[in-house]
Amino acid sequence: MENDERKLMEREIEAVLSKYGIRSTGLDIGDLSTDDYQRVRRIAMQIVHGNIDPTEVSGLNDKLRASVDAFVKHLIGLKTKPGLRGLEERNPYYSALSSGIIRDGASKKGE
Amino acid sequence: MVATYSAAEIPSGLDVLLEMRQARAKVIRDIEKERDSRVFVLWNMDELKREDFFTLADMLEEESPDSDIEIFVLSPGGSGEAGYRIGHAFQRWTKKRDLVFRVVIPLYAMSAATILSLGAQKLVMGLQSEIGPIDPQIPKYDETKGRWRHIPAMTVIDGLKLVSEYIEKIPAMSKFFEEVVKNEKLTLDDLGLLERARESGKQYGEGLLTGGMIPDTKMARKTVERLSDYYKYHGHPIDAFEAEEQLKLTVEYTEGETWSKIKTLRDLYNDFVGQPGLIPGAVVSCAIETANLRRWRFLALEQGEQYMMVHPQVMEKPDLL
Repeated sequence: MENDERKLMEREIEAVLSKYGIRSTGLDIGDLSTDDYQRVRRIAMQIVHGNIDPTEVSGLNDKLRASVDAFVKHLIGLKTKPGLRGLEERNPYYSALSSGIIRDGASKKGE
Repeated sequence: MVATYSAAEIPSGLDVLLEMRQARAKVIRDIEKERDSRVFVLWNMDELKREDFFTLADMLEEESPDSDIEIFVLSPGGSGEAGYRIGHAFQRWTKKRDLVFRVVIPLYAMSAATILSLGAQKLVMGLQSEIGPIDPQIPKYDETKGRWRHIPAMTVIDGLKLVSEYIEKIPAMSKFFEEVVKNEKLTLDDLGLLERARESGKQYGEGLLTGGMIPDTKMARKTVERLSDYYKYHGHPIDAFEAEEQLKLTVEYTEGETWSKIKTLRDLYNDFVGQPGLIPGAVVSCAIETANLRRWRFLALEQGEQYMMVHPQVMEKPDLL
């Protein structure tokens, strides 16, 4: 059951990536375990949001720290993508790279 | 070996997506058990579209629950028709089966999503929840910024009122305003369309309210008129207290353990929908899910989407102004 859902998800995502001409570079998580990947992603998001707990980073080994660095650079690079900018324009409550519950619709509308 | 990735090579991790989905499904099941209901989630960071209604209607038929239904909604608005269709379909479907239809608003359900909410028998709201006005928006191309933006249809009417007041006070300015209006390319039928769009939003709201929360036609009309004409700013937040006291909506104000579970689900969706870094080159902009079913809408990061969200009459003429 879980495997079926995984396969379905994979097919769906591959189809979307190919539809948009995005090169799929592996839907696996490389040599990071699922837990490590989640941790790396969470810390990278916290860094980008500016609310990182320093002990989270100091507890990382070299491999994970490098992954966090790469992830942060990746996220910052996404900030200017037209897709996210369009989403921000259509939804004044949404801010790419902000936590989902931060809302600054009024100030954005006043720009 | 140190794992380094170029921007395009960040792995998305299907297992991560699967784990996140399982976590959401688990919380949905917990809530269903606790509230003896069947939960549908419409978590839409983008505009509400007609296809969202078709998706939800398919899911409703597939799930065909025999317990009360709760739709968890997050949406900034979008197609008023989609909001009306979802609200109406769920309202009538549950009514036929003597079930209750509730709309749960963990954060915001604005504009067209507010119309959707008016179809419920009860709104489940907490301290963070908000709904908003239902006056229609029209697209206007901002040439200085090179992008489409929405303005409330009422601002055009307000602008014209202002012009007529000025002309009355200073007749010599009529020539100047004539030029301004000419540049705006406004015609009589455009103005007629705006008025019709405004009235149509009220009709949707009134139809939904009389079938659910406010059976009395006069009272329902009063509520939709406040929702359409009273608020000056389309983003005006209406909280649970105002919804109950001023709009006379049936609000189940929720806090404590139940609200805490609703917030947990909220956080799980916020951690997923609209969040970059999960799927290379794309984000999920809308997730429509139950504990058993899921449909996601993807948004390609490299492609800017055209700003299109309006009433159908106005949509036919995107260059209305």
